[in-house]
Amino acid sequence: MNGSDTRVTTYLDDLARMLSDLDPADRDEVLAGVREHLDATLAQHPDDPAAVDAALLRLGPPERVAAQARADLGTSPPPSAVAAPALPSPRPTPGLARTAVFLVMLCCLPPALLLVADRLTSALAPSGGMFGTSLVLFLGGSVLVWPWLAGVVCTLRARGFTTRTRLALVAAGPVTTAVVALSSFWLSPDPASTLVCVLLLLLDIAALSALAVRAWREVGA
Amino acid sequence: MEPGDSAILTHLRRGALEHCVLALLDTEPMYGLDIARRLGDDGVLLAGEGTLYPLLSRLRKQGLVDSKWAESSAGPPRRYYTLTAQGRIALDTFRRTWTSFRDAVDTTLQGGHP
Repeated sequence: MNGSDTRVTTYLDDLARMLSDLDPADRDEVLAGVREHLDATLAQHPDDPAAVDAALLRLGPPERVAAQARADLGTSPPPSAVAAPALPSPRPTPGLARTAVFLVMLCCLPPALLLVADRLTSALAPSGGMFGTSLVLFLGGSVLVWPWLAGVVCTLRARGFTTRTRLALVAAGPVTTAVVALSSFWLSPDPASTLVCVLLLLLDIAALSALAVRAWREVGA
Repeated sequence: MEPGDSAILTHLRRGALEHCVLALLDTEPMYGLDIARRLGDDGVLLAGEGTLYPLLSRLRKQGLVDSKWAESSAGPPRRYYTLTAQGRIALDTFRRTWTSFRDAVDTTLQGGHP
């Protein structure tokens, strides 16, 4: 290796280093072009140190070539700058949500409605109806608890509800059960207690209906 | 050339130099070395022959020039550049606008109205 080869190698190594923040394909292309340029120039004057000096002088300092490369080709962004893909926002599941509403209402509304009807009729025509109704309710309750559980599971898994609605749907069952239980076992048939029970039940029914409508609309597909 | 000239020249070259390259290739395909020689070594159009190669890469990526390998009996294959149809359109557009631009600048510099 003679001195002129070393100078060429040094030049090209310096240039390669200065191009390191470029896209690798761009860097390779620029280096290949410059290398070819030098080869072609020096082919006419092999082993002539003066020719090497002249060729490198005409090429210009590697810093200038690198600056031009950055201006023309740009640098590739560092890996950390590549944005992580945004987490997909959970898509609402209207089908599941509405199933949840349906199941919860199925388990809450009929018992409450039944009990209101029973309370009112027995208040109007006192007979032994209440006891039988309570039994029906008890039995029905032990059947309805399963679809209710399913409704709760659907409520928790469905997407598209606000937190308030979700909590209300889950609470609907226990609250209605409490109101129904209170009305069933508060057996005294006097008008005052009948009125209180009926009012509580009607409140519960109204709240359930409002909740159902709101929840249904919330997840409107 | 005076010391402050290089900064100005860098700005002036932007936009004009690439079209000079396209104009050279309009006549015939050329090796990089020949383009560099034709653009002169007085440092006016090219600030060092090395700066031609990043420009050629950009023009190729933009689809304005094409490059092919030519086998050479005298040595390793060499890359030669040709003008693409898109490059010809860009060159024609530049030719249309350059003359009026240059004249307007000249007139203004001489104190007249463009």
